[in-house]
Amino acid sequence: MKENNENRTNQEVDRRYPFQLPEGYFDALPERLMSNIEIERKSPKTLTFHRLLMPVLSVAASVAIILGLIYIPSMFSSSEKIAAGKSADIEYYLTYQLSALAIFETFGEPVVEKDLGYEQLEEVLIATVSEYELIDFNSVK
Amino acid sequence: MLINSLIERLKDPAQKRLAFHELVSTYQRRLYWHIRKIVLDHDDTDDILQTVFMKVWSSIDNFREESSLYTWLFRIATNEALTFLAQKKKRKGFFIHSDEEYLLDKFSADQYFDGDELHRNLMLAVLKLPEKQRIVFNMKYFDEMKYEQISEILGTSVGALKASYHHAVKKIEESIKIVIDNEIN
Repeated sequence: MKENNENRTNQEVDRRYPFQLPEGYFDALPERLMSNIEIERKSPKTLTFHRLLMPVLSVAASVAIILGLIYIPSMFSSSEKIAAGKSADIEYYLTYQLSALAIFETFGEPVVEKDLGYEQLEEVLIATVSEYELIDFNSVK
Repeated sequence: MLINSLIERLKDPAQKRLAFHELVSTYQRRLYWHIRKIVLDHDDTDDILQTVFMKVWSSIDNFREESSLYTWLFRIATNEALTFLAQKKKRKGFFIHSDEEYLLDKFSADQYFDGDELHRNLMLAVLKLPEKQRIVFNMKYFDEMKYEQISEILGTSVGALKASYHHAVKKIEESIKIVIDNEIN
């Protein structure tokens, strides 16, 4: 294709438009562009590294969030909730909700046959529980 | 300057820098004014023009010479300028109702306009045109391009371009007539 309007002089091109532009703009533009090219040529390694690293960091962050959502709730299990409970509640539970037999079993005391008579039970208690505890036990009964 | 020789040198790594400098010096004026007429603002034009030349630098090896270098450069410049306007409109959102409103604001604030009253009225009338008609009018009237060239750059048929230019001229005549009538009355 013949490019007839390519042959216009610079003055002819500029004169056609009713706008001015900063002085020396076209004189400086080629050098500015060459500087930009030089900057881009020197910086692609950093850009490439960041661009490569970003997806890896994104995946790592996502995995951390998912694992966090799964494990953090399980850390607050029921046993820890009990441990975190008030001591008065625990005392009430031990006093009124558990039998003496269950308490002994919990703390590793000798297992007592369930069909023991009152006298046999008293013997076991004398042998394993201190006097103060025994008085306390009798007052509960 | 032999265009074919310039393209060959642009594709040769050993001669690329010098050839690119030559390319910029040769086409910067025409491309600058083409972009400036689309976006109006000098600083915006400067940004877009630099982007255009940077794209040329990085993609010259892919230029298959199916069109002339001149046409290829103008196609990149037109696309970049229109993309800029679209992004500007998207970013400003509610604040811009139309390209016309945005461009008229830019034109009113342009400290570099140095035309007379006739030029001002002509520019105002051009800015009120729909985008496609405005670009065709600029390329035909100001850049004195042939329809065939414009057709290659914009990817529009010559018939459609002639119709666009005809409508644009009519609208501009009407706009200027209204301004003159108002001044007389």
